[in-house]
Amino acid sequence: MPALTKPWRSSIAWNRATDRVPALADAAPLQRTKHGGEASSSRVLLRDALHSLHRRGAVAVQDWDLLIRQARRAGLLARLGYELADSGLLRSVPAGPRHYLEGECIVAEKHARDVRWEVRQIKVALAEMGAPIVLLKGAAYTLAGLPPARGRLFTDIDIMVPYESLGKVEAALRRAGWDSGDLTPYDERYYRRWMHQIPPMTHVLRGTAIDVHHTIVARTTRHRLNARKLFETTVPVPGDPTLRTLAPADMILHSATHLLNEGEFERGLRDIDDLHLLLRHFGADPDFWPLLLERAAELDLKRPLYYAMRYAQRFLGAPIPEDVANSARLAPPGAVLRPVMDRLFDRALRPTHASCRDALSGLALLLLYLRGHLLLMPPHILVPHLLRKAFRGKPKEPEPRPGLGNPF
Amino acid sequence: MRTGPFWTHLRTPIRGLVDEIATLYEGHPISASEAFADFHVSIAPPISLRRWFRPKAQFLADGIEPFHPLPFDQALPMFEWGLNWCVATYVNHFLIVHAAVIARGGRAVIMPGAPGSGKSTLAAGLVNRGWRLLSDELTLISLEDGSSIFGLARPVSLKNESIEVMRRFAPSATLSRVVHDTAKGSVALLKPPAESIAQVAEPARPAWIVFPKYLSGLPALLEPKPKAAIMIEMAKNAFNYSTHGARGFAILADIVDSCACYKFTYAGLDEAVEIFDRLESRH
Amino acid sequence: MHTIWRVVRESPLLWRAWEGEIVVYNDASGDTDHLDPLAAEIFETLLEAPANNDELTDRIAQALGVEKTTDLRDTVASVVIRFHGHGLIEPVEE
Repeated sequence: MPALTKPWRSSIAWNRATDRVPALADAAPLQRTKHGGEASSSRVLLRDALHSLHRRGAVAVQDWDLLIRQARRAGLLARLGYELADSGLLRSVPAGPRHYLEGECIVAEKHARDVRWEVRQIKVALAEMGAPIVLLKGAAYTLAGLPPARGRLFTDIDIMVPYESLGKVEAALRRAGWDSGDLTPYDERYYRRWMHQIPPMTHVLRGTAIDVHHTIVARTTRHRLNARKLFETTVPVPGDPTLRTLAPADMILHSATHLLNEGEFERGLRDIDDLHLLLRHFGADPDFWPLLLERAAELDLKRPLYYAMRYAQRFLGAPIPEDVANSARLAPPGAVLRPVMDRLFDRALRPTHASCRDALSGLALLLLYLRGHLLLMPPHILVPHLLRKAFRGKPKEPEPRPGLGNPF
Repeated sequence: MRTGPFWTHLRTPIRGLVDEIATLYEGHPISASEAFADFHVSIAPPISLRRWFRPKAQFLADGIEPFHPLPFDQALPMFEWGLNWCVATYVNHFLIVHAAVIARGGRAVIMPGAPGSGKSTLAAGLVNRGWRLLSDELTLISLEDGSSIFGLARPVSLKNESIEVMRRFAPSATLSRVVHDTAKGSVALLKPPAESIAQVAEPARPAWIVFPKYLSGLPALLEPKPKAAIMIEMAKNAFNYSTHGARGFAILADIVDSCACYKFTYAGLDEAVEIFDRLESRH
Repeated sequence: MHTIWRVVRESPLLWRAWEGEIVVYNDASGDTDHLDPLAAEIFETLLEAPANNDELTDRIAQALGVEKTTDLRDTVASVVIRFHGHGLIEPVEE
């Protein structure tokens, strides 16, 4: 073993040298204490219920009232409904909660119809471009028929196009009725100069939103990701050659990076459940795992993948092969950092319902928020940006209005 | 407290609000130990320095704040609007139409209408002359059979001049305290007849769709209205019509098919009662 | 200019007719449209069989008992464009 000067570093180096990387099998002890020890995390009924359904196809619910409320806040009410239906359990749920589970599944079906129609409109708008459109996230899951599509609720559609064609794409969308709306000069600079993105656009008639990307990791981060690599490996959507999605490994890495690196956890539990579903789905093929590890290394996204697999397994029961979870190729965090991150993400990956908060939740979210911003942008952009954000209010929902036609 | 098909769990420190609700909702079941509540609402002063200046009341639906806080004395109307918001936002096991609905002999009149059409006043008048109140705002259509109409038998919301009109028309009906300067002017709530509350669990069959419009100075007029236009209006007035897609279309189309459809202008409640009585006996 | 139109095949359409008017629901788009008697006649014609604008104008003139004026032709053309924009009809490929 080489002589090392700093005691801190030496413990990590020693771990690596002897390959004693902390194993994801550590997840088991956490499960045990969850039910006996930490009172707060045993109230995360939704996570426990999903874990139980995924692993055992069964679930025992003591408090349907709270479970429904947590699921609704987490945006997972429909998914919970589908999971219960898959296990043949929905019929035996008491009538009160069952109405809301079934009702939300109907809402999710509506969203799915809307997404397909919207993608069709986008295809028409961009038909002259000649290049295939790469769907990302929810739209990709839905059009490709992947497991995270089930029970999904949408707010916008994400697509990816080559950086060089951003101008033409924006123009084509504008001609077809999408518009960026009124942005402050700061917002315009934020999107165009600093984040190198087109601001999100809304369709003037349908009111639907589209977000056009050119890569999966913001250009301002230190991850120097060559987007061309992503385009090279896209796969066609079954039944429609004009639409493509990222390759499975890239899809997982995109989702992992977005969740674990960006510090926004409003949909945190939903996102980690998506990851769990993708890992389970693609991981059924044993050849997939080495590809995933290799791609993570190639795109310099090892750390987010490590956390994604760790928490997908720990909280939701994703079947990650032990040698993959323990793989040194992922350059996992050391023995001091890892438990800290575990505690932070445990809190972040809960429904944002009051019943799931504990004394440290606020701090955990703040720390991860700051970490996300630090990872996202260098300090000279970050500080003014945070100051701006602090002074914005949040609009209240208007009174619900009945409607005809196609709201999102 | 249960109002029709929904259990609402209410938490509030405002003693006056509890008393008002106890009066207006008398007859609806109350329980301290329901395992499941459809809605969890709270009305309380928000945590802010203002609570000693001009105290406000904040409505929260399980932690979500759909409206800005309102002056303290508007807590009761805020409870009503908030409960309407909950039903319109969260419920999808009924098709919900923004319409008043009353019934007699098991047959229902659905009265869609924009605010200001006078539908609430009309409903309030009719239920004090022998009709049963299902709801003044939210018509619930069962998805199971696509035609049973369910109600909530909640207080009827009256505004401005209607309050005085109802005082004279139904002097024995219970009215809440009048709240002034709300976003909708002066508001008071009318307690439904006890029988309406007692019958709230019974569905009614849709028989008529009537679009009311208050037009002072002219004699009341009931005219047939083309069904295609009625269908579109019903769809526009249904909160979750789009959500239910093909099913929603089929249900509304069947209801429009099976109902006699009219538009109705009126200037006084007595005339209106007479016309509705005739309508009911005719069919 | 002589495009032949037909009612869309892949999206399920539901409709009801009352007093010469039609309300049609398109499951793919989620839109519900109200067709006045003229538009309803065009829609029903296309339900029976695909047709181009000329044939539609002929049919409408006959059904409504009116002259085949340029105005009528233009009206039919604009309804056809609207139907296409709403995803109710599509051109028949050669």
